[in-house]
Amino acid sequence: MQTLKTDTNVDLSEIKSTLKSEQRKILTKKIMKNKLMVAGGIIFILLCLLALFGPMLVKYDPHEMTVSDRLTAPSGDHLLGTDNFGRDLLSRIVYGSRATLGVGFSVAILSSLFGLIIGLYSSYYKTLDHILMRISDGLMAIPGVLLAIALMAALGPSTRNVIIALSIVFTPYIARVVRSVALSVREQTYIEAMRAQGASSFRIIWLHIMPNTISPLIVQATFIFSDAMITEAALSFLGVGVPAPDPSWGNILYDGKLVIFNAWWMTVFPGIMIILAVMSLNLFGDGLRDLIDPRVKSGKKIKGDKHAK
Amino acid sequence: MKLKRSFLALFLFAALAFLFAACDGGEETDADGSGESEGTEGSQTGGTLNIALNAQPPTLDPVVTTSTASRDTARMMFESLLVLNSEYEPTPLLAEEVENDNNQNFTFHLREGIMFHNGEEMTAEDVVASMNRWKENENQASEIIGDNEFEEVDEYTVSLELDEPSSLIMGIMAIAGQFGAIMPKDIAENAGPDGVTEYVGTGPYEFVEWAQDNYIHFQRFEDYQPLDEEPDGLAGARTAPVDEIYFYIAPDSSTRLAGIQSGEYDLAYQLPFDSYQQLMETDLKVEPSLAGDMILQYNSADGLFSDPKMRQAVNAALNIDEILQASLVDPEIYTMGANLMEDENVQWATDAGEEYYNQNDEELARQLLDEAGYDGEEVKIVTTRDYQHYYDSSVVIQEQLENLGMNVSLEVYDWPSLTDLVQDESAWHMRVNGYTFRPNPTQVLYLQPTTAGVGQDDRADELMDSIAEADTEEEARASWEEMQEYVWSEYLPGTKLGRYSHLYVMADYVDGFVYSNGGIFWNISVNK
Amino acid sequence: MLSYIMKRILSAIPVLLVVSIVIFLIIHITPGNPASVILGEEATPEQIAELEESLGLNLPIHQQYFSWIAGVFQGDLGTSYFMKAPVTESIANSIVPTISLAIFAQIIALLIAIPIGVLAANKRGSFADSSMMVFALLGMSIPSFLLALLLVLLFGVQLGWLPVAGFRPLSEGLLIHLQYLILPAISLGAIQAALIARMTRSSILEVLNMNYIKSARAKGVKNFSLILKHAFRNALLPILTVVGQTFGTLITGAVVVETVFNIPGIGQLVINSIERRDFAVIQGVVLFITVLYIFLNLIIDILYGMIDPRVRLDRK
Repeated sequence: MQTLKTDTNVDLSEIKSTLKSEQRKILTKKIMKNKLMVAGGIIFILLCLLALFGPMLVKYDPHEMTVSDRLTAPSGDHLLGTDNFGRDLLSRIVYGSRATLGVGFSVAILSSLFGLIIGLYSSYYKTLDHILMRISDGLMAIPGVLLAIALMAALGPSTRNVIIALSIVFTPYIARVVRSVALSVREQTYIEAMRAQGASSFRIIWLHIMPNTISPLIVQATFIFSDAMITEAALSFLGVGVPAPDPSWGNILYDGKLVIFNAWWMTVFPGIMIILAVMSLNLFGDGLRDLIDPRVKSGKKIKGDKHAK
Repeated sequence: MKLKRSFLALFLFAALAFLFAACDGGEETDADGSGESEGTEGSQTGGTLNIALNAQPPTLDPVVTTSTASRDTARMMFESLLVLNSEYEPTPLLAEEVENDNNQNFTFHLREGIMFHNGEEMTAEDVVASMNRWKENENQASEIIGDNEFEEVDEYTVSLELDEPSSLIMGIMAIAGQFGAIMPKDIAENAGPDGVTEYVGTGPYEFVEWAQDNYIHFQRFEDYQPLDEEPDGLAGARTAPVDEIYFYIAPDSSTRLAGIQSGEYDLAYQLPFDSYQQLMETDLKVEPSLAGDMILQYNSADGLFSDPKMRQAVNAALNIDEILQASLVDPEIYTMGANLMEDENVQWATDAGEEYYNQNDEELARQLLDEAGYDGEEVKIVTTRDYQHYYDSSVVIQEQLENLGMNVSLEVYDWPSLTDLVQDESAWHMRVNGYTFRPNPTQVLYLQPTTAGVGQDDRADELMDSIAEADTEEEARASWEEMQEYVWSEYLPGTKLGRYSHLYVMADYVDGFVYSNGGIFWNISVNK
Repeated sequence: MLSYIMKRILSAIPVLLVVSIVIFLIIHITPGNPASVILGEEATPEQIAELEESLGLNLPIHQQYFSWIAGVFQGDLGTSYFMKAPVTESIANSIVPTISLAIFAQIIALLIAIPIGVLAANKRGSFADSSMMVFALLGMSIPSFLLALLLVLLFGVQLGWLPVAGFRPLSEGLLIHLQYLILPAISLGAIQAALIARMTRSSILEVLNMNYIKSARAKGVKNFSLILKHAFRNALLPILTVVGQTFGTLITGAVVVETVFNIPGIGQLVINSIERRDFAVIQGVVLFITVLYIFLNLIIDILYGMIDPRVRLDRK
């Protein structure tokens, strides 16, 4: 990885390209060797495809109800059965994947963006650092689900607000990671040198410090993605997430719990989907981290390292 | 090895922590001793009744709240001068007799020798203080009584004088919900706006303990003096066959369902409608009790639905069979029909306007929408999942109206947010809400312009006034029949969807349960 | 050491201040208020206003905040609007089930995780190893409320072996207490178990690579007893660290699990209080949980420092 950067002053394009292709091969080999990561990646891509194209394939509209057919068990007509309004569970799960993955993705992107900005600037300016880090300490000290529930109660129910609330919850974690990487980069001689040469702080931050933080940021973002999906599901399950009657996996579980004595399928199928999504992302993230930063032992998420100073 | 010793310390620490937790748990619940007092074998009196309640009451002072959880628990220990019998007639309870002079001057002769739980006798000064506090808090009472007050005539006599005659005030004084609980004078006088915290009443059970979010504990009041009459609704003799009653607070319906099946509870409240069939197959006694009307309320005060044509269009479109099947589930436990008063309420019950109920007529609905000039404006239904059947109905209604070509959005809030939100009449168009039965039509909330979202209507006002001012019961009834017809055909502040039950389920050894304005838990015996 | 502890405690104060402000603001911009919940749906605006006044809810928000936080510094978290009892009392009542649940979950997690981790390390690279590790991964990927639902479905509804919900205090007997706690504890402990199993495996492997183990092995010490006698003991430190660090998350994770099983713990208390807009309780409990969380972490760090002299607490 590091070597990729040395190509700036070499002109031997042939060597360069063979080197590059060899590196690519090594990387591919490394990736393929990590079977779990590949499996995770594939499952996750399949889920994304399901969210994108699945709605075109299902037979029923997720809102269409035949009340007289409520709570029918899986059958040829309704492959996964129907819910308590007589809506087709399969199409609700398929449409629900849009809500759940969509929330996870948006939260990962938004919190990465804000976390990146906050992390970079607080690594660069001492005073700002004190203020921002106290705030993120505070936010991180409140249990995530609780904070999200309180925020949802305050903001009111809508998918947009779920995304806002979860982004507020997860941004500090990204900011922490970015900041700790950025801090160590900042101390390096070449940054000192640039500063001595009078480079603007904007330039230093965005052109020289930021690129170093991207890899850990991406790893962290995949974990945020899966955590956000879990939290969304939990919020919807508690009735304060994606507003019903729009399908989301958590919403289906909410309805399922009420009829858990009558309809096992309403709990089991969305449950499997959540497990698949979360597990595939975790596998992928673990592998990605091993790939990017082999020093970090697997088995422990970096998230919220309280001792990073 | 130093390391080893430290591990030991750690383990000890963990073990100690566990022990502490264990001890705490032990002490905490030893105090209630709930598991100890088992019922005496085979006898009609004695024993403990464990009831699973669906919500924690906001307060046990019924005077300040309309909460039904407060009503059902508070009336174990508090009583009022008058109560409703099973036919919704005001009947004396703590009053021996009421002299009614032309619906304007009332004299209440109190029963003598009624003891408070603190051992003092109830006298006129207690009643005066309690009733004057009550009439400040209860909306209709404060409107009718105004600045007049209950006054002490002698130790056992209290009087009330009104500026104008009111045929309704007796009914309001007997109201089951926010009832005029009689308590000792100094407690009533020192009560804050959020209610009393010292619970001293005259009822057959006295208050022992309220473990927040866990249980409310009552025990038999030994000095209680029941009336001689047979029990009849809330009226008549109240007895206390069981020694102790625990109301366990179990807001989660599957907990109540599981608990009643495992024998953890003897009686459970408001079980999910979907569990009805399953429960019927068990040995448990299932008593569905019609509890109120589920109303699709239109915001006739403001916005799109201030146009009666819009309301009529929606009313014409609804397929109520489908709505009820999804929300109230089992036709054996709900009823349909246009009648807005309780079926047993012989004075008022009528099916006037029946032809406008459950029309399911798309064509008519479209035509009415055209007449109203509806052009795809967004229609907002607000609801809550805290009452699952409101939510379920709302979802089906949304779907039906969408199929009609209306642009309907559904917004789900938690209950406190929703009650706040509906006060803002520009924020919503429709909501499904439940209304418990009222003794007379003038108390029906969704017909009153003082309720948020109910628009003022001259004809309705006129009819309501003529009910209130009618000289005879027949006249009043005729006016109400006309009113109900008008409600269905044109006025439509709401569409009554159906009449829902609460599922009360109890073990087969529980006898004497009666439902009248909520479950009644005195006169119940445990015979195991 | 003492100065380190002091420093840590001092550094927690700004965090707690931030927490208190954040949670106070969120709660007070939330629609709905305790007065209208207490009075019921049919109350008039005047009655609500009167009650608000008597509860002090009509004061400017900063004034409310300062009067609250002043009380907090004296150990008074305020009085519940709804229950009219001190918030500290509500917390004291509901912390017992939560701690009971958390400890039981932790025990279950350890009982499952350590054998799995040790076995996996012992049979490194085998099918058993990888299947155990996949199992651990699965455990980490199931949100606890979902596992709770699935367990309820299987053991409560289908098999009918265990109660689906509810809580029995310890005073009614240990057995019945645990019977009600077992499903919640497994739901809550699964993630813990997965974490600990992975940690056990990797730290044993690490120890196995050390020279003294290699020499012991060269001397002919049997593999399994090697693991038990030497490797496991030295791998305990990182394991205990994980246990400690995650105990805080166990308590907070209980929030959702308690809702599924209707356990009257601290999580239920918060959720109920939000539902009732009982501002005082929400503020108090969130602050309390935060303090607990910070405190637990501090204890773990201190213990860690006492156990392992290499860890210098006062380093920057």
